[in-house]
Amino acid sequence: MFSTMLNRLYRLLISVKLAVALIIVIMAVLATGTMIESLQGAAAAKIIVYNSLWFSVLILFLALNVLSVALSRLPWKKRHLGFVMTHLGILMLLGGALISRYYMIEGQMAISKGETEAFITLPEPLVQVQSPDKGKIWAFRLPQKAFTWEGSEVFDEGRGPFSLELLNFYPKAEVVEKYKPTPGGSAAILVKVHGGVIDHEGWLVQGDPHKGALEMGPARVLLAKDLITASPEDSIAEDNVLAFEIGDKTVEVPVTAEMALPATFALENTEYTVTLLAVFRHGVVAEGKLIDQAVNTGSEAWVNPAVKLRLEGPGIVEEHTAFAKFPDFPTIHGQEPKPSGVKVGFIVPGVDAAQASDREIRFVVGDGGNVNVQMQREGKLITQEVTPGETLATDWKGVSLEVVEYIPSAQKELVFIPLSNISELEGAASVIRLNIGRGDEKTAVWLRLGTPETVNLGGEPYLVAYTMKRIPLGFKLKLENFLKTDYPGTRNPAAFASDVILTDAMHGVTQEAHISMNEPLDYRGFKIYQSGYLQGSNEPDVSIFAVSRDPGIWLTYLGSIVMVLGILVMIIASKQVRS
Amino acid sequence: MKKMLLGILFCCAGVCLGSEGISILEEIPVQEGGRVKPMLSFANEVTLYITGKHQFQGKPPMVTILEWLANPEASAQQPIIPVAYLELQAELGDHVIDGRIAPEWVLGDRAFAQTVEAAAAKQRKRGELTTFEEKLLEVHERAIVFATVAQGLTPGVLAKPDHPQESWMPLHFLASREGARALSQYYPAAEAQQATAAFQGVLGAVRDGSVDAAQAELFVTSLREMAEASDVALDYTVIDTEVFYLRLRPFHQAWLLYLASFLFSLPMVLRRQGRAATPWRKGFGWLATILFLLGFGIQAYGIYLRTIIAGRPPVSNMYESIIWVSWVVALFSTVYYFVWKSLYVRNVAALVAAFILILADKFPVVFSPAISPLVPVLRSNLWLTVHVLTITMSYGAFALAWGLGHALVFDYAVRPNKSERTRELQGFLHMTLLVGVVLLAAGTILGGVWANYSWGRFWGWDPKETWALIALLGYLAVLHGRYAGWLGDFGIAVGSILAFLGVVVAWYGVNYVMAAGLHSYGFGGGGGSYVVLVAALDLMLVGALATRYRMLTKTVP
Repeated sequence: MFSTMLNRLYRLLISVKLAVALIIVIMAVLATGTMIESLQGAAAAKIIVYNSLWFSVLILFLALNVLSVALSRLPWKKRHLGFVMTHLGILMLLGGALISRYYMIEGQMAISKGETEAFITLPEPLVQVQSPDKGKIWAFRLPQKAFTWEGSEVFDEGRGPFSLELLNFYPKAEVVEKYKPTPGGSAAILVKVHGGVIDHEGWLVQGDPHKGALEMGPARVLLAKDLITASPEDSIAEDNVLAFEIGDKTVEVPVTAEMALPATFALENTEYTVTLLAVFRHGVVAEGKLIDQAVNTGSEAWVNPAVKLRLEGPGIVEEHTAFAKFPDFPTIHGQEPKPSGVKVGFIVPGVDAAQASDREIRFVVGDGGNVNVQMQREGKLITQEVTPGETLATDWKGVSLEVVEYIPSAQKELVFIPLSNISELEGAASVIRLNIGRGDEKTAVWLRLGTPETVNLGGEPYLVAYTMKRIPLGFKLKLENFLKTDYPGTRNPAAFASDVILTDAMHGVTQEAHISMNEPLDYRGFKIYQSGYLQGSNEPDVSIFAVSRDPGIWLTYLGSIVMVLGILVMIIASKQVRS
Repeated sequence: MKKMLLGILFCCAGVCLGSEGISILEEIPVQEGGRVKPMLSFANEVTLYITGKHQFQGKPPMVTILEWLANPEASAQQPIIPVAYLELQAELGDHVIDGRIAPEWVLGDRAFAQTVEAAAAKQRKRGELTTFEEKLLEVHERAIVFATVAQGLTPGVLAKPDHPQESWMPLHFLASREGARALSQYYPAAEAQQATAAFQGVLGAVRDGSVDAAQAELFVTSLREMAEASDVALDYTVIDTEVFYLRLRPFHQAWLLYLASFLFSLPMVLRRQGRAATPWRKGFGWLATILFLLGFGIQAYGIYLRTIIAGRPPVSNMYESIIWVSWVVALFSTVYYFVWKSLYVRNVAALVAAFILILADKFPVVFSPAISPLVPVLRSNLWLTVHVLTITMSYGAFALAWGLGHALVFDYAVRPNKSERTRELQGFLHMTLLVGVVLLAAGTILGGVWANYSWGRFWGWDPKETWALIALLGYLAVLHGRYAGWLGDFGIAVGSILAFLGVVVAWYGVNYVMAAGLHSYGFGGGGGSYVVLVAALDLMLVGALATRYRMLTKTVP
């Protein structure tokens, strides 16, 4: 009984019919896989098909079939040469693929110009929890989901004093910021600007460095602390003043263009010392640097007065730039407030913020919680109260302004809307929701990939992050230079490359290398490829490398060669060619 | 020699419009789309893009462009931009005349501009666009391109002497006072004025209805003198080669020749079995052979010219791969013809090659014939060239096998008994399948070698590589089906038709329908429903023939 079954199994395994059936099944599976990739992205296809256990079993079954068929022709004769080579080649190829599948390292590395990097990021999602004293980090392997998923799954148990439970997994989600009335929050206004080609809606939030203003080319709408106060126009004297707001104190220091620089002075009754580095009569930004245009023109007019200074205090050294016309410049340009919290104002009589007001519309929350708007109307600076729902005409051609909503005290809340896996929507991110438990206490938290959140557990703040696994390479790469050339007359890249310095302290190796498209750097089994870049106007170039180590590749190559030679032998030996 | 050949070809084909002035203007070197090319090339590409046709209103593209330049306002009011999408047509209503809309309306209507801006904002944020929005943006983009061409803002015609790699100055600089001032920064004033006057002369002549050779020559010479006066060195030979290539239309001539060869060989092929050929049949046979070799030769020459012009092997987009695959079909059959004197295979190949070339020739919007620069990852790589050439050669072999399969299925459905012809075709079909399999296997593996060399992994389940594997498995299933005894001669013939569907998906479907994965540089759009329709019709035909074959084999034991 048993032997007949074994016999049947053997007959099945050595049959070509099984091979044909398996080939057709694999074709159908692969076609489905590519369909999933087309509709849901490569990651989903890998999770569902290519990296699944059953797919490996299917391939192993095919390998067993190929091996059995080849062995069943024993003893091999001369005419079997092509046949044996081809099938042996296929087995080697599959063997190489198996080794690669489980032992290959494939990661990414992004390095800014001038920076050094020693780690690569692998496509393996993790949840990391950092202890309040930053002394310990626990990492938990996140279960992989192909699609948007909701449910409850406890994962990676017994690692550290926590329990983690996955509640939501969105491979891609749109992140929407909402403001909700909350006591102790900041004033927030939702404004809508439209007309002509402008159609813009956004929140303006008091005190938020990224939400201070809506920028529309040269014009802007902002929520400021104070109204512009026009100063008397006749007082054009050389009594410029630097005003330092420290807490609730204000210290004023006179400044002239003729001062010997750098000038250092202490701020009275404070712990701070100021070094005045430069004074500009006509400050303009050229090639990312502030320069004084007045030096070139020889003019003595205060066109765009600015100062650059260094502020030193207990444990603090920071540089400030202040413009007379643009007192809110740092806030509006999204710069974080300086650690000292000191606000520097530059006051040049006759040249004040009012001059910039034809290009801005300013909202200010009054003492009574009412919203005032200050803007140019028919060439005059006016201030009036606005109520939500009101539409205001502006001096800008055809543009009108609407206050959609006003919340006197609001707090930001992020809402995540799941998107299709392959959405390329700007700002879309992978998002999870976790239940983190410590003892009996459980807290649910939303996490965006790469954005850590603080979670209170047992009264202590833990930093929790949804990240990708990072491993050390064993050596370091420093990006010296990034080079990109474009096709003539276009901004389409023709080629890009990186100059790097590799340091391997363990082996006492330091070498320079040039990595370009299709010309990787080979070091200790790792291959480092130029794969992409990021270029911003004010930021250093970032070069992106793909890093991989594939221990199965030699067997794959060997198998390929043997297989192709085998088919060639079969063709040459076939009747058609010989006749 | 080149000129003579062209002259003969043109006057024979009746393309000779007697407008020597136009053809002189066509040879002006311009910079556009990341490379320097002749004005003719630009005119062809931009007319095709804006109007969706090789020739708009039956005029040579160069004439169309000149008319737009000469009368920008009047032409903007003409219905030029095609609106094929019905939903959009309905939306635009009366403004669509004969399926086209005027650029002026597209760019001028405020309500329309707002709809376009909404869609464009969504596109900037990379949100998912509806078909309607895609078509809307396409119409708008075409109107913008029209406006830039008609206002002379593209292409660049004058290089900046010290920086010839930067954007060249367009014709607009020869048409306005500000332009002239800008020009005088780079070029001597006298020469700039002369060129401006000559250009105005040409435009005036276009308005009057014809450009004579002297006017055109004057303008071209003044441009050339400006370039020479400022030491801008241009390689005019490549420009001339491209003009020659574009006028020769080698791939168009090739399919004409292949079809002619097939027709002339019919008397020889269709003569009764076992009967000696009469001298006139033999004569036609020789003529057919000569025509086929001419087609093969002119196609090879076209591929060679394209390689010279682009500075790389022509296998980087769909159009180029189609040209190459059809040539490989002809190549295999030529080898078979010279080694084994196989007349039948050559005729099948002539039909298959002509069919593929006609596709490329007649659907320029889907398969763009423009020569464009490569994305960085495709540049300067031996492995890439070897990989793509091998893969596309396998497609060629399988395309031939597909044709042979049809010939055999027809033959068997008419006469199920084996004949001398079916025996010959059957043998070549089997050999072609084997050659295709080895090429596809090797090509796919070489693709892995290149991927490993360039991306860092041998195999990544990218749709293109996965479908190449599926296609390969399809042919393996057919071959093993024979060893397993499931498929006979007829089955193999049907199998080689069915398995070609895998090649069609790998070759066309992944790039044009799925549009996913890492082979994005070859992506395009359009034609999907036609391909499905043709494939479905083909399958129905094969099904019908197979049914007939079954009936015949049952009744005649």
